[in-house]
Amino acid sequence: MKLRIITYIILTALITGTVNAMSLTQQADSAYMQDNFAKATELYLKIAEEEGTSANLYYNIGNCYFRQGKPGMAILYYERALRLDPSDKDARANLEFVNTKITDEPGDRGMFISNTVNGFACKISANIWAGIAIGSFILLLGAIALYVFTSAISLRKAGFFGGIVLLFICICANICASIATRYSTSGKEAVITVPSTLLSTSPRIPKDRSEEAVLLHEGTKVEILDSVTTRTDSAVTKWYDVKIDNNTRAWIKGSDIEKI
Amino acid sequence: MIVMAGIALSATAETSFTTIPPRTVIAGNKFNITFRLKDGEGSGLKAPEIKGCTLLYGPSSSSMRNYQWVNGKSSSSTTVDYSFTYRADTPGTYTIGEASIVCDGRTYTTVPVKFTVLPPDKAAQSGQGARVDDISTQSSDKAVSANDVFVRIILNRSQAYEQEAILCTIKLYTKYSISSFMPTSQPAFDGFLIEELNLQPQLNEVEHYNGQNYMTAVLKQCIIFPQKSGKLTINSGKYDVTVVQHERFTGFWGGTRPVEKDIKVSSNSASINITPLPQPQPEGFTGAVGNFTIDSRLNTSTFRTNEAATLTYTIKGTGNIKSIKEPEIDFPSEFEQYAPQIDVNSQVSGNNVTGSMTVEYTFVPQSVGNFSIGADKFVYFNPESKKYVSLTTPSYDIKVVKGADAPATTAGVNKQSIEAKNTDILHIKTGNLHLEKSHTYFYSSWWYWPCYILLALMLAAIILIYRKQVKLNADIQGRRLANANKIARKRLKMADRYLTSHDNDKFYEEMLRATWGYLSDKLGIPASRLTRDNIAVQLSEYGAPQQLAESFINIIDECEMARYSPAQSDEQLENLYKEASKAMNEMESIKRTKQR
Repeated sequence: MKLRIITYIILTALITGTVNAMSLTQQADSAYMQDNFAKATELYLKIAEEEGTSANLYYNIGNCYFRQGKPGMAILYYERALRLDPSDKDARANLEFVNTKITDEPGDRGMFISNTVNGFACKISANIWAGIAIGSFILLLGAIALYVFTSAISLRKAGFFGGIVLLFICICANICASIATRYSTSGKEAVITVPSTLLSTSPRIPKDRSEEAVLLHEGTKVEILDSVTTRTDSAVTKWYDVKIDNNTRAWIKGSDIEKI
Repeated sequence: MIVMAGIALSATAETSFTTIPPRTVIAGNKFNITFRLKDGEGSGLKAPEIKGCTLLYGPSSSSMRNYQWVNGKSSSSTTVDYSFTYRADTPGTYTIGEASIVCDGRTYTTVPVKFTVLPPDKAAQSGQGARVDDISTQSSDKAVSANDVFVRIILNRSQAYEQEAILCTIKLYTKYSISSFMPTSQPAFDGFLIEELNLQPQLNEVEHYNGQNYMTAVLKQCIIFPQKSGKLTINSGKYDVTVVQHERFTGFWGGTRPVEKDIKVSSNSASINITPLPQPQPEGFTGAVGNFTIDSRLNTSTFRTNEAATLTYTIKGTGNIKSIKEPEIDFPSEFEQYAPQIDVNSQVSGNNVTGSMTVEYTFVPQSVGNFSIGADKFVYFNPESKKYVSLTTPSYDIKVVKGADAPATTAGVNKQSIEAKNTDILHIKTGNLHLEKSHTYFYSSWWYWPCYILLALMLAAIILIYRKQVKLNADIQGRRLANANKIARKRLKMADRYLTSHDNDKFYEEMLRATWGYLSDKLGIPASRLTRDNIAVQLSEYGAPQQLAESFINIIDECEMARYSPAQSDEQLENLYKEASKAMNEMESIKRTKQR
């Protein structure tokens, strides 16, 4: 009897919880449909705070920001959505679209081979890679068992070569899982969220022309390499050493970027 | 011929009666008003009275006759002028009322005309300064001052919005007559777009300015559109002017003669405050300022594939019509489009520019079906109401039917690849968002690598257990081998007991069982597969000498035989028993030669 009551309580809690979530999401969706993007953004951010996040939620927030004419924030949230689910085609499409609308066009980033490998690894989410790795490892153990326990030559052969192939798959899947996990959790990339910012060659506001490194605009993605906190008499400012592309490195004020 | 000329003459005669108003009237001066009768002989002129003016003399009439021969045709006209001389008493604006005259039994009346009487120059300056109306004051010994001849830039407003029309007039003021006028540098309109009025400068108006009367001429008149906000300045222009002064000379005739004098004149510079257009600018605003109407029209009602059709879009109104960007009509992508033909027609009227902009969009539908040409929004700023106005053209739903085949296409269906129109972001995702409080990554969790180790250990354990089992199986044979002698001895002991109790049958049975069992265990062959015939082979394989095998066979044979033969002596039994133990002992001493 007691158990039944507890189950009942849990069930009702679950149901009301989902009903609540639906209603908040529906409110946000309808606000978006009615072109009230500021309200929709507010509601989606509230959902993120109260009920957790997901790739789809970040994707919707990105859409809201883009509709409000904030491509920087839109790119930030599309990137966040892709961190959670690298296979989200919609988020990738919108990210590519918004990237065509921003001002800056950085040069090459990374090397061809590593970009290809990373691109392949980040097509599938880290957890699926990990699952593939463990699955292939289990199959590898099966192949070893086949080799050990059977006496028929053909089965032993199959076990041996199958084992080699599975070992290769297992290693590759683990590498991909490692890359994908780093992509999702590193937090080393950031997006510029102010309309434009002047980067400096040293971690302080440029004193003269020679200290001005490069002018970047909203929506440009940078890679954080290092950070320095400077203390002047009045304020504490954080500066990041960022890499914009293979040839450009400069310091940017912490308040001008948002980490993905 | 004469008759014809007479007909022609009478046909062209059109009687008219008009008032010729005075050109310049300054209070205190005399002036003439003339009523002109054309092509008629009038009588009974009734002239109106003019307020504020005193009739000095009139009417005096003068007539004029005019013959013309053009291409062999003759025409003639007569003009009769009736002049009245008045004196203007007080400055102000007056109306010359209707004058009437009777001509050929009909009464003609003039249209009332207004004219202005200007005040005279202020007394303080009139003493020494030159006066427009008195050449005796324009003597050559006087220097021409900046007050006598100057150029003004006049703007019709002091404040305007960006792109709002401003009337700019450049006017020459002079008290002397001018014999030549050359601009050396024109005023510069920086930050403006200019629409000029075509006019011929004429020195005819007298204007009262700053208490003085001047002859004036409009040098240039234009509508300017400011292109940026803030304080904009029109730089002053510089002019070389030759004025005519009158030199008095004495002599027999006496009088005056004109003398030319070159002077340099520069205009003032004019500034105007330009207000930026109010923010936020609505979507679709492309900089049109003024007052406009739009109209769009499809000039065809039926549409066929591969047949051209046009959409005409007209923007009419006043304002910066030349700066309007042509609207971009949202045609379906299945329509082949050509560059639109833009025709801007504008002229200056009053203090603004009026005109129309016609854009012709030519398109060719490429495929059959129902399409829609999108509505276009045209937004302009109305500076009078200080508001943005948005106009919308209707959207057109078009049904395209099959027309002639495109001439250039090859046989078969004209296939088109689906063109991705990547013009906007995709829609939001609705429904379940699959929210999660925290996101776990298996790869970075603590149990990921232990999981591998655990799995590997599990396999290792399975393999170990299997190996042990195999070993155990191998051991069963070993134990049987080890125990073979023991079991055989037990059986022999049993046989020995039967021997002492003289139970012969039981003895042989036990002997046989002991021998077979011993051999089976020793050779590792199940007893069922062991026969008298293969013992020898198996034993030799085991490594036993020939003689031992024979002895075993002998024991078996004797036992088999003794079971079906009559009783035998105890001695025989004893011998058999001894032989069996001896053979077994011998067998024990042989080392296995071959491992199975």
